[in-house]
Amino acid sequence: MINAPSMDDRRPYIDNWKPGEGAVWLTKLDQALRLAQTNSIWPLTAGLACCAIEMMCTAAARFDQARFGAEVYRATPRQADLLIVSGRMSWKMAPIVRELWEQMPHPKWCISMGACASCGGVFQTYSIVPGVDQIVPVDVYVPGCPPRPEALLDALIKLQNKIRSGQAKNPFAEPAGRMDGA
Amino acid sequence: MSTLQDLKIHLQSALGAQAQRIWIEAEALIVFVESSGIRHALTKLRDDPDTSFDIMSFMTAVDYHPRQPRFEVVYELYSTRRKHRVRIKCLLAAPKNELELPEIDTVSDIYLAANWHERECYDLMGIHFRKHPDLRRILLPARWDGHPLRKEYPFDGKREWNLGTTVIDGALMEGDLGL
Ligand code: SF4
Repeated sequence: MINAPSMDDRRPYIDNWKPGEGAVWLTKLDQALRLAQTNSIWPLTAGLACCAIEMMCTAAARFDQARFGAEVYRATPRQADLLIVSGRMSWKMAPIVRELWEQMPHPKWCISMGACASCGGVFQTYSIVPGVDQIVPVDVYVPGCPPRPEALLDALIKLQNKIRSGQAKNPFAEPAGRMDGA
Repeated sequence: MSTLQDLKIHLQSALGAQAQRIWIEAEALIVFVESSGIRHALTKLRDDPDTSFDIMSFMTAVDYHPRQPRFEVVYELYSTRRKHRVRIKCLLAAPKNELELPEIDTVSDIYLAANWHERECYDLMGIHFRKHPDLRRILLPARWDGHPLRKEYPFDGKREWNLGTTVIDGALMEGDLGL
């Protein structure tokens, strides 16, 4: 397989480029696609608990998620490609979140935000899902209760790196913790 | 009916033998009523102009396992006209057969507020309210197994986790969200 030229390979062409001259970059189609996907993530407007407040804050002016091309929160799963599970998820809510996930078009990614979403957090009880990776496949986990907006932005950048390098979860991946083997 | 003491004396004469025990504790008047007579007692307390308990603040149930009788159903009544409160309690024994639920008559037609409270009691504590118009689970998913506020229920509900996954698969397959 022919590998697309690296940045170092392109360096001489870039350095010697003069205005008015034409320039051609070679790349692979899926690399170009991944670059586009990386920089235009549309998250789903879905908040589950207190972490959602911090998620809103991340999108607002002070922390400004728009700097990373991920500010277009969509109010319908059919236009979203990132599910941020922000907060504790109850067993009663789980089928609904799963339904939202199924409604999102491929490719799609998931960030598990906060201690509760990642492992149940302080809610070690019968009604809370002990880790949303039992319900949806998770790409990045964010610790904290709640995580600071910087932490969420860091998770976003980590996710972008994963998407750019093609290491993000297979969009058809199954949740990690499915106990019935289905 | 100015003081709690007066109210106590009045309730004693109004309820008669129905009030099994009646006493004042921490500025609250507490009355134990025979569970079979709960409808009669609450109707009387609501309609008697001297008591006129027109609002049910809440009702709930307590599990005193392993004491017998095991369950206690608690009704907290308030009178907006006379500005006084009373706490009515009923003892319920757990049935011999573990699969059966302890039973008491519904009061949801006497106090409308009791409708959802009784559903919550049924959902979390597993108490069956006879003749309730719509005794379904109210907080937990419809397919939940067991009553989690009972003492024998595992604290973190691990037993239920597997069930939870099946709940989701079932709900997605049948296109119904189990609500
Ligand atoms: S991790 Fe903390 S802030 Fe986030 S949902 Fe749980 S309790 Fe709330």
